Amino acid sequence: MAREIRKQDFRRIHAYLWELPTSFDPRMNVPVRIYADEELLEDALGDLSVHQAVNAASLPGLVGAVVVMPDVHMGYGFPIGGVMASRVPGGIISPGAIGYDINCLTGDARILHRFGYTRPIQEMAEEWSRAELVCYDARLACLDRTPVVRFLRRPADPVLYRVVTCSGDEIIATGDHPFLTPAGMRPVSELQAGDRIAFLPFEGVPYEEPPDEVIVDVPDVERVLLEAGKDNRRGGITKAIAGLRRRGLLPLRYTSPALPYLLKLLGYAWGDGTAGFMRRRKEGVLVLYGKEEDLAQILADLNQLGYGGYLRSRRRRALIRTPYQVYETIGVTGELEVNSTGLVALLAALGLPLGSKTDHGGRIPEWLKRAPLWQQRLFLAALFGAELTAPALHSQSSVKLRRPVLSIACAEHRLADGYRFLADIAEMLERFGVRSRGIYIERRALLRANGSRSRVLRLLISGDADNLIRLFTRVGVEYNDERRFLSWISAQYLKRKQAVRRARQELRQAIAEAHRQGQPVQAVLEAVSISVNARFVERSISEKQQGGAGLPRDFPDFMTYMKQATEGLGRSGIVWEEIERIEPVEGYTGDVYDFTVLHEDHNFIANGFVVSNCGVRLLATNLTYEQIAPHLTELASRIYSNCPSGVGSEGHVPLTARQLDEVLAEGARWALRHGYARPEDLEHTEEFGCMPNADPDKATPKAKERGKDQLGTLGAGNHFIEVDVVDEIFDPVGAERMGLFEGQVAVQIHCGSRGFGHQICTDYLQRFERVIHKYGIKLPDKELMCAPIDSPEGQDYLKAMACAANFAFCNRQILAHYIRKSFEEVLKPKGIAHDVWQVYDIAHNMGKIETHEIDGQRMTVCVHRKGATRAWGPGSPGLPKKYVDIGQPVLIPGSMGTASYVLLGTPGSMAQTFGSTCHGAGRVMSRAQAKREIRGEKLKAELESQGIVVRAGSMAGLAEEAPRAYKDVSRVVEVVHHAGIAKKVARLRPIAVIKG
Amino acid sequence: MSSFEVPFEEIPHTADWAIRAYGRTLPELFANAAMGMYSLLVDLDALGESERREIEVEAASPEGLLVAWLNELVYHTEREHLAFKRFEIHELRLPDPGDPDSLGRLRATVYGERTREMRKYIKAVTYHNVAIQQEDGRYWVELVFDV
Repeated sequence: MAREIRKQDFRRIHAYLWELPTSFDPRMNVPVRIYADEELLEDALGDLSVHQAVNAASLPGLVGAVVVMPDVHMGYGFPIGGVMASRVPGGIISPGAIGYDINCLTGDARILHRFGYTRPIQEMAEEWSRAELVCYDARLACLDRTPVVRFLRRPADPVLYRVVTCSGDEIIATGDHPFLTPAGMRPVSELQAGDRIAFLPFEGVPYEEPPDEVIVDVPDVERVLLEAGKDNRRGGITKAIAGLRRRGLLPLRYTSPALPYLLKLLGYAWGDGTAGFMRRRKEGVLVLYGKEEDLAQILADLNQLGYGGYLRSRRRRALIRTPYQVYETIGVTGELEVNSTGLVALLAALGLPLGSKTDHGGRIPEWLKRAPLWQQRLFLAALFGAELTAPALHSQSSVKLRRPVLSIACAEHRLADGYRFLADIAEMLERFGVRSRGIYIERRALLRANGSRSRVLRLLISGDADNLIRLFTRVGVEYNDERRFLSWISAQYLKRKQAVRRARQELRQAIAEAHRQGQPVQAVLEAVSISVNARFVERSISEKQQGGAGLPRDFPDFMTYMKQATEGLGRSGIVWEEIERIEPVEGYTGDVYDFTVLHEDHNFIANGFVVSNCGVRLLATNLTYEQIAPHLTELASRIYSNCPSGVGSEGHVPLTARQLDEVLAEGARWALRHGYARPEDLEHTEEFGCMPNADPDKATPKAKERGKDQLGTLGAGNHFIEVDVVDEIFDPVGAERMGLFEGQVAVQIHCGSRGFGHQICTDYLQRFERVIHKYGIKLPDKELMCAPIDSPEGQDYLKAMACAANFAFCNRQILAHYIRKSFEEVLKPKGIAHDVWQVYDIAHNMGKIETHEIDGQRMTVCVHRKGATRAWGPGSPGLPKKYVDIGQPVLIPGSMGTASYVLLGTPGSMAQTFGSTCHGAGRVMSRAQAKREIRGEKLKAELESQGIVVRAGSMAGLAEEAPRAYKDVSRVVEVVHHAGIAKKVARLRPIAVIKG
Repeated sequence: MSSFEVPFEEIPHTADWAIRAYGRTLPELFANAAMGMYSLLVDLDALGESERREIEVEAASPEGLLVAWLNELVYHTEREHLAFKRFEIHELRLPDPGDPDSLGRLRATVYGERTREMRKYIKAVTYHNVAIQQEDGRYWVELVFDV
């Protein structure tokens, strides 16, 4: 998504809150809200953070808004420093990347469905959930189909717009209805005359409810088989019928869901296929001929019916029949062979002639003549896909199209039958308003291989523009992409020609009229949008006979038009139409319909979104800076040696497989059981140190392999341990409750679930990737890979993620233990009494099922926090008793060497951000850049000159974490404080930094 | 490979590490992507080839296959402290785009050495914006590593 996002696109809600409304991008289902001051907003716009938030906002099932914190920076898919909530379970869903988001049309707007019929949108109110519509896949430049997943009705806005194209097509929509333009989707309100919008020339026919009558049933199929010579000695007939029954094809009714597919198959087979019962056992074989890509579509439909087939290429003798010559040729065609006695019998029962159609051409069956129009259309369109001549230019013209011809070969003694067949077709076409000009029998007979003679009969379809337009846009073509493409382009071309002619004709008359009345012609010319030359004006004035204005000399020929109109749209058949005018429509008092297409009615959980319970733990001591200062260096060294850190670090707590499972299930409780914790430590941890829904069986074996030697390690990257001094108290009451006082020594641990959590994420992303096509969710960024919460994959992931969370809780607990041990090792010999207790432990990257009030409604949602912290206000459930009335402590580590903050959750955060706030400083400089610009040794010297002791395993690693590479955390904290989503309690200043 | 064609190069990304890898064929692209990843971790020139591992992965899309391949290497690296410098790809079969259930497969032998001196720790290879492109007869792809 490359569209630039500027500050002006935001709506400023207050000094620290900006909103990017959903109107910014039609893909957004919820707005994006960013907490920031002006400068931090500019920072955020400096990379792709906000774009990523907009991408996320297009995911299905979100509520509220995608919230972005002031410390945001771009991540890999979702911005780091973001929160979003999705509804649990099921619920209203919104579109993915493909499909028309048909917003807000008037009730009578007709929507095109997959099987070629249209329905007025207001009629879809009852059954929209079963509808399948035609949509456009911009990435593949082809048409696709999609179900409907949201259907809302609301009273119309006072002003609607009528958009009229240069070819005369019209649509009425609300101002925010988006159209596809060469520059992407744009709402009507942003378009003007001359702009180009995408248009599908196909109109289809209105929907008609099919009667619930049976077309064919078991006796009909039996009769066919017996007549073909099949017997039931070995149960062949019974088996065939059972196969049909099993697939729901018998009895076959007008309302059978399989009928549309059978109609197309029937039409195509009639045109370019051969069916029969072969060999001694009379097994049914159907062979269809055509282009491989078209046959592949037919095969896909066959699969839908429950049948398979063999697709191959063949050299074939073909009879090429043009209205002007018949000749034989050997060509390479595709062949689709289906072996099924049941299917062939069914088609035969429906009327398909068996064997050579030259001998037995068949008649259009009565049941088809009585079928609803849209079903007849499917048959005809498939027949035309196989047999109708493709739209082509007249040999003498570059603008005039030949009339379409349907030709059949017919044995001489069966001419009457052949004639009647074509007459039936002509009659069917009449019902679509498509007229024919007669049936002609070729004079010249063909000699056939068996010695008999055959003649070619042709049905000529009237070639006038209106007729062709109706043929192409109402009947159309199925199972022949190239022909379909050409027919739609032709239709638009014809419409454009007509529109231009009409406009010129009107102008001619207007000029003549003006001249008659002695008024200046110039005024008339200026009032219209088309341009004409002087000769045109002269002829309008002088010529008495208004024979109809011709085309201007610069009117594009067919090939040029085709190229211009389909630029970037492939062979999908969609064309660019120029807007002639947009007029406001007033006085519409009905409802408008909001209507969204996607695939399935599921909600989701975004996997790649959540990493691995990276979090922070704050320990406090009863020591002051003065007391610790003389021993600080020793303490730092002790901590560094007791807490394994760095790349590839292994812990002192190697686990057996069974023990690892226990850790995954119990979290910090395992640490308690094994002597690494005090009970009050768990009391003061998010979730009390254990996510109850963890299921070790859902953790992948690879993750366990990766994690089992890493318990009790710090890791590398931006993970660290810091010894701090409380610098300033902002909220004395909160501070006192948390046991904080000015000048106090405290310790922060910042780390997560290590390789275990990362592997869980990787493995589940891979698993989701294999099934995401089943759930039909289109991702703006693959890293936002997700699955419905209610799916097996989603549920498994929740349980696996809980395991990762537990690993992290346990890990931080063990590190806390080592830190206590370090204090003891340093201070006990010196006789300094001390205590190290836990203030709180929170996670930064987690997805949690929580209940929140959104727009006045209490909802269960899955809150995704990435680089964001839970910040529950006073009175929330799950808080330690000590903090219930002040709220949940929030720990915001600054970057290394800069201040950190302790805050409290507020009622404001519950109301605004699903109980969340920022997590830290957020990077401004890439690691690569930091490494280039900052030298680790120099940085270490700088920090030490500030009185900070540094123990770091890697100088390069140190450089990447330089304070300069991060935003100023104080600014970030100011924003969240003033926005009311967290309350400042205390600021901490580092005195020692330990990292890998 | 001519001296004008690089197998990979580093590109800026705020929070993590990113590279762009190139290849004349898909197997070459996959090998260069792996080489690029390891170049961030170790000094490839100084690394030996005393260890080898067989790698086999499957995925539902070409990009998925690339990410799975690299993540599998990351797993081995973390488990055994191995870094790899040479990648022999024996089979690289892409999934069938017409069949959503089909899986692509990659089989390779990779050569490297144990080392404790890795510069950084890659948590995972992300799918972010991974799209294998073809331009001027070359394949290229951008990868972001979560470090």
